[in-house]
Amino acid sequence: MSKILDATCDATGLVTAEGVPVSECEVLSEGKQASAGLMFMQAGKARYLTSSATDIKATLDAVTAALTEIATTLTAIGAGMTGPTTAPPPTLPTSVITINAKVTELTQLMGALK
Amino acid sequence: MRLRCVHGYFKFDELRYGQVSDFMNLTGLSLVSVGDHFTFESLAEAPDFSLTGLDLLGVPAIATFEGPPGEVFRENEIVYDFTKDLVVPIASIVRPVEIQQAGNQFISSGLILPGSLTAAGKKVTDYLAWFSRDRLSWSYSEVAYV
Repeated sequence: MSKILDATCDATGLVTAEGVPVSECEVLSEGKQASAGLMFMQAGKARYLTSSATDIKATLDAVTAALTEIATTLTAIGAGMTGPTTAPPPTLPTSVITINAKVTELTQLMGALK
Repeated sequence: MRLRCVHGYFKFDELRYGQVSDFMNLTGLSLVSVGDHFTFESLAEAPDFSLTGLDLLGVPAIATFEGPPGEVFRENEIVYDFTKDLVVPIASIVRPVEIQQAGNQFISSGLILPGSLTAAGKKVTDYLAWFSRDRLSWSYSEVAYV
């Protein structure tokens, strides 16, 4: 037998169910960001699990945006190399900033997984 | 009718049709059907889990635990006091009880209140009791203490 309860987890990893904190609950996900999920109880053990779908979606969004930016940049560079000049496209600095911003975003996300 | 007191939670089993209604008529105590057994009305909503600090039938739970009501009672050190119609900490029960062996069974005056203290200073936690409609009395085939 086991019991499943709706629960939440705060950014410190503390799980709350039925309105009371359950300090002995083990968080199976990362628990570094507030989330809503389920607490599974069996005998004296309680474990919390949240959906990681939003984490995955945010990761994929950032990776897709970064790769798109890289592809756009490389396309622009390639276009500039077909003529007599090899000067980088004027959009390159902005593209590099955008890609680096995505790297920062992913790093932050990595440290704040639910 | 058979009664199992499991760590202060009560499970009545009707072994013959009409025993529950007979019991209620004779004792004035109300029983309700829960799953595969009957229990006291106040225990009908006994939960199958507890969370430390969460209300547990009027008592704050002291354990986070999932299991049948009897095990939840054991983990939270509570019993049902049918004399007060309340769930209370087992430590609060100080009533003495005398249990005597009579052949292959035990006898005691009336229904044993879980948590009662034997002469040896042990608390009754579990028992298997049989209600006699003819004698309006209980006999016990198993009694456990802590």
